[in-house]
Amino acid sequence: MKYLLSAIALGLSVTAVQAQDGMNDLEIAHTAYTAGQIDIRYAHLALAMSDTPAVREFAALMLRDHMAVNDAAGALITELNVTPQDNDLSQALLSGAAQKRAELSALSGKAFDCAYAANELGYHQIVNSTVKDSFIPAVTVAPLKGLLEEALVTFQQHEGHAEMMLAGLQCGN
Amino acid sequence: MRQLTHLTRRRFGALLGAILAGPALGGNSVQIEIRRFKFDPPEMTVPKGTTITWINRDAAPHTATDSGGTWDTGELRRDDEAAITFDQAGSFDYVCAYHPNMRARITVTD
Ligand SMILES: [Cu+2]
Repeated sequence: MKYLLSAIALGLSVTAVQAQDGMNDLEIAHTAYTAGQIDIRYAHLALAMSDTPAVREFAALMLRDHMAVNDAAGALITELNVTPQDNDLSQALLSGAAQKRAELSALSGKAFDCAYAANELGYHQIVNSTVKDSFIPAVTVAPLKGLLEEALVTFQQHEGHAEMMLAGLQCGN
Repeated sequence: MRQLTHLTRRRFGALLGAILAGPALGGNSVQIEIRRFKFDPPEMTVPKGTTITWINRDAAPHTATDSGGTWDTGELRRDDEAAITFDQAGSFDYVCAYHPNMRARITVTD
């Protein structure tokens, strides 16, 4: 199993992040949880930075849904009595997100809204394809697979919603 | 439209809901499940007096919210349920207020 986390997750960054082959269940759990935490931080940033109702509504949705999914993940981890394992892909996601947050923080107004919306779309696209094509096929524990499948349905909704938000902001002008 | 129970939680909530929504009405009771971002069933026709209970099976919170603004379950977290009794005929398109592409319809007959 080989997959590439491409530059799109990091917006304009050209760094491609390649995950190691054959991540185990605990690493996958860690990365999936981390991906949710990252989007929660983006959402907090958007709520602090933007006055645009569509952007704030989207950010509130991200907070609500990603917190719920990660709560479910936390409950499952407790139930299974396991500890998720940090790994290169989680680290790459975190450093990419820190860089993106720094970029976003330097913007304001419409420039911020458009950059946030574009990043949300790209981020959900790359997370979704990673969860769908790499994590779900690789994971061996049934309840974890179930949780990832549910997470994927949720994040696919977000991807569609991000697309609508981006279109509504008319950033191309 | 009477909203009978609001945000009941899990088993205790289900019991409470049953007490509040149950025998006092003498009407039908039916259930709509919310799972994987869909209302199931998406379309339902019921006689007036029916109590409909929505149950959310997703981790993500949802609502069932009348597009015409006459009723709303409020936020339902996983395994939360809310019951609403429909005592007037009519057709109601509704959505999840959080995920507006989740659409469904209830038709209430005389
Ligand atoms: Cu919803």
